[in-house]
Amino acid sequence: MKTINRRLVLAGLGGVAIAMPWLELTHGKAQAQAADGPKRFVLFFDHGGTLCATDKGGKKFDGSGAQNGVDAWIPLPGAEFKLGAIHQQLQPYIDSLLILRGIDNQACAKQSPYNGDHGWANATVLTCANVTLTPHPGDSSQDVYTTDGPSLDALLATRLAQKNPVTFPSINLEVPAHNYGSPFYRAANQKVEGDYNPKTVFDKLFANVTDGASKPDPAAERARALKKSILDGVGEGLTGFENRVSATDKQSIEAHLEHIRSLEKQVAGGMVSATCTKPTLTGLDPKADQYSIDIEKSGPAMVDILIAAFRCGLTNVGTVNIGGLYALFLNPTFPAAYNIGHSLDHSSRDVGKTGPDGAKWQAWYDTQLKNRQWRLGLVTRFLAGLAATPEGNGTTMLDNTLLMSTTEFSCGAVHSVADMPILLAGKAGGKIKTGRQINYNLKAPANNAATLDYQTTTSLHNLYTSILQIFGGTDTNFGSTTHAWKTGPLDLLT
Amino acid sequence: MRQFRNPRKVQLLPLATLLLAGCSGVIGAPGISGDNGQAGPNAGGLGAPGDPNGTGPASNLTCTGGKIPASPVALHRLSPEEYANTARDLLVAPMANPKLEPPTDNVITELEVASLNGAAHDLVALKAHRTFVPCDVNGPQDAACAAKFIDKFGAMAFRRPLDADEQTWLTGVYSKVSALTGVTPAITFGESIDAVAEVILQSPQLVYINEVGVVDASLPSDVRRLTGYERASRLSYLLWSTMPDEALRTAAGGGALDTPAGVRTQADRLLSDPRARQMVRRFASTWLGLDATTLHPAIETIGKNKTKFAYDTPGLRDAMRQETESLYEHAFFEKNGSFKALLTSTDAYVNGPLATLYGVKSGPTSADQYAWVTLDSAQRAGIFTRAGFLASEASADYQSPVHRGVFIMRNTLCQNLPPPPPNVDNTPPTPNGSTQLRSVRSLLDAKTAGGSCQSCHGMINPIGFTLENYDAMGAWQTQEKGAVDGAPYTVDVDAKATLKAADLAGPVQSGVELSSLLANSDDARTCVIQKWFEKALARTASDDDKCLMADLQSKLKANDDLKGLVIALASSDAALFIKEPAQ
Repeated sequence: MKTINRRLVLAGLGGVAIAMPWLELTHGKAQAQAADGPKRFVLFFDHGGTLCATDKGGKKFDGSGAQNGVDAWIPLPGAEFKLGAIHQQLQPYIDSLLILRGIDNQACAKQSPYNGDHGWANATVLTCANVTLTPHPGDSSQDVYTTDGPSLDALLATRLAQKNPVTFPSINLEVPAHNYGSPFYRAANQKVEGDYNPKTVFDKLFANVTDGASKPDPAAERARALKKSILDGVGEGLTGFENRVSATDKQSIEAHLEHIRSLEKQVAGGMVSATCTKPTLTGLDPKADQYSIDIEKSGPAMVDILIAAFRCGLTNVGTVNIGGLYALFLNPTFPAAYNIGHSLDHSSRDVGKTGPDGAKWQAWYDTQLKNRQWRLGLVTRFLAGLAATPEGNGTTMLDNTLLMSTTEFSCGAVHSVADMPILLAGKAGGKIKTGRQINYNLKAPANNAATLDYQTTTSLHNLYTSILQIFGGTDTNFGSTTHAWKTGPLDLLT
Repeated sequence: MRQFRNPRKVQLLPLATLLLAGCSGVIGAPGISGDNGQAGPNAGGLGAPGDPNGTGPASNLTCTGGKIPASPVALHRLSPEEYANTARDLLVAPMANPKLEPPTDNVITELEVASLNGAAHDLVALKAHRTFVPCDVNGPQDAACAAKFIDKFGAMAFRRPLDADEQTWLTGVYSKVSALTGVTPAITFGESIDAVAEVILQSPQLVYINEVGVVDASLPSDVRRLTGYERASRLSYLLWSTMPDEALRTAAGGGALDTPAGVRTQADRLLSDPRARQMVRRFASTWLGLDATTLHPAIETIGKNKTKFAYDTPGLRDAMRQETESLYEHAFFEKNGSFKALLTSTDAYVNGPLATLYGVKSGPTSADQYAWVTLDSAQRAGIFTRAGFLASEASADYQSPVHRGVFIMRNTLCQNLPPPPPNVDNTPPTPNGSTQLRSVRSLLDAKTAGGSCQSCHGMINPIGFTLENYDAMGAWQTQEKGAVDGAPYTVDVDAKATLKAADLAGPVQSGVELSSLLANSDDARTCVIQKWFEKALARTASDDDKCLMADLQSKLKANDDLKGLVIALASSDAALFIKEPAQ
């Protein structure tokens, strides 16, 4: 968007949009719609860390290739912003990308017994919360991680729904594969599990969407009235039941009641007459459970559904939770001994030149890269859908969206929660400056030359505070302040 | 409820400490039963502690110093399996197959609620609930008839009679639905009944087990006796994974469950029913991790090398689960609940493919033909030498001593093992011409020899090594075959190890010997008690349960009877009484 519109000029002249200095208006990456900020927030989360190998001390390799060390996530070294191996497919949208480095998950690092395991990392990566670990009541060999606050997406969903009421405050989707638990929390101690079957999601989201020409169906209206009465009845039952349970259990019943209210809202939302097109789903098993669903098909279908949901105005926030996959459809000939992605991640050092599995290096790398690229392919598909959707004033939905893509570790092989991989995409309604990377590693040279030296005072707390502010919040912190180096937003974002 | 976590087993107080504690509280005074504080037939029933026919505690409380070992209970929501069984029994609809999303946390998720909502809708479509309507369901709106339906169907669904508030709520639902305006055609009586049923089928009273008990003047002020209906639900969900049947409901309503003896009578009855066998089979599969989770595929789908194990078929995978479940069932019901039989038996229920895998010469020959056979006692002994466990805890190509060892440490000895440190140097040593490492064992030995690895792997590896004679499918092997850089090799299997985990110590030669040690291990017995305790009481053991756990341990050691263990748990004071939770 290189058009300078009146609104933007006013923002610049009046200093209202402090994130929009004049300089930005002149060098080709000026943002339209600055005063409005982003309309929607999307979070793609995939499990197991990104593609990296480490040295024996646990440091990331610098990408130089020494000892087969690699970090396929980071941009290429140098002053110019060039995408790394995993991100190559995002090249058409490079002007809408902002890669952040040198940001740690301090909430995990400070609370986990050692640096971070999957459970602690998942519970903190989107919440920055205080976490309590308790045994599962019926199986003490299982642990339950409870947080004292919501994840970022849930908070934004609530706020955005207040500004722009929608049928679905948040659409939560899952591409199921190996994982240690959902990182999404709608509130303290309330985990969110995403829908994993596209057919189920499709029916839920588009049941009340018409093409704008159809007349109301009396039979459907009748069924809807009945359903609403039934949900009302369940809600009344829960309200009465809440008085019968202990104080400890009230939270469970309240959550149950809120879920019923959410279903009621979906039913009561009424018919949505939209000019959007419902996605076409083919070749999917409507009865498949999370362990049998064909993710090669369900993944892209979920992305298409989410794009359509935004186009139909059904929601402001979407999340996609992608498991750590080793998929035979990506590499059917890979040695079967590496039967899951998790093992592959942890074997990153075994395949170094000095290890006995050194001969497997290229196969390992290729497989890992395919897996990561497939996951990021879902992000790419989503960005393409947004970019192809005009949204007035010469903008596209991509211009008015903020997307974040991350995972629970930087280097999965060592469970590192330092230097987290953060990809922002979309121009956030002009609230951030894209087409670049920012490295908060205090030891990183200005020209982004490779380095293993690392020091930071920036954590996810600061990033999420910034994101809240981008969406108009006046927040000075996100999550628990206990574990942050500092409160406040990131600098340099705008 | 955060006791006994590291390690996760009960620490017993010195006996002297227990004996010093004096009796307190007034036991055996008149009590009340029934439901919601109503007096039951045994109201006024007496009985000193330990009197099985009184309404007081089942134990004599000597060990507990006079305290009733009751603990607070949390709300329990039915598992998907329990809900499906309940729906089938409630609706008398064997074809009903509702599928709820599995719980992933203590608090229900929207995904679960949505699946429950959909399941209730689908169940109502079967129209099976209409058999509870005592009038013509195709007739005109009939509030009186609807009220009778609500009382009858509701009591079945809620596992107890409805109280006045619940009657008001549900008759209110009927009234609102039957009077819905603005719809054409008008809502029929049958549809109104359907709507009420749909509410009931996803109501919290059905979905959650909420125990409040009754106040009994004979009990300490913070202890409550579970009502007969609550005890009935406990028994039936523990032993049948479903709602109480008519006999249990009758026993509850008549006060027969107010006494420990009455509870035990029903526990015996339930355990003699085929549904209890199914419960035991599911317990076995759950315990051994044969079901799919987000971290581990089900035994039916876990990946194996199709070239190396060309004989692998769906029929073989089915048999792996069938045999595992059948062995637990066999030990529990046909071998007098013998824990030792579970761990040492050579009896096996196999089909053709599994018989072939085990090398059984005269057994079934096809995948759909099953029979009991006897396995070679030099190769097989009990459940940890069977394909279900061995294939589940292995990689696609090779056996996994770590997975097998960790599983037994955690789930058979209940030892708390932390996850490996993420920054551990797990790079294997470089093989070379003179000391080339070949076998799984030698590679693992080298990999875990240094640093702090031995603090855990010193316990894990030897257990796993004793199972080296079983390959990734669970087949017997005396040699391990593989390839390095395309060059094939063969190495002899070494299953000898010196155990030093929990109370297992000393040299063993094989998985058969490991199984024998486990069968006689106090720690293994304590662990199996813990597993059944958590199933029976849906909570972890607390300090208040020390006496019960010690008693169960001594009885299991003396009687070797898991069935007796389950009955003892089901009729224990911990199952009969609850403590008011701290607010």
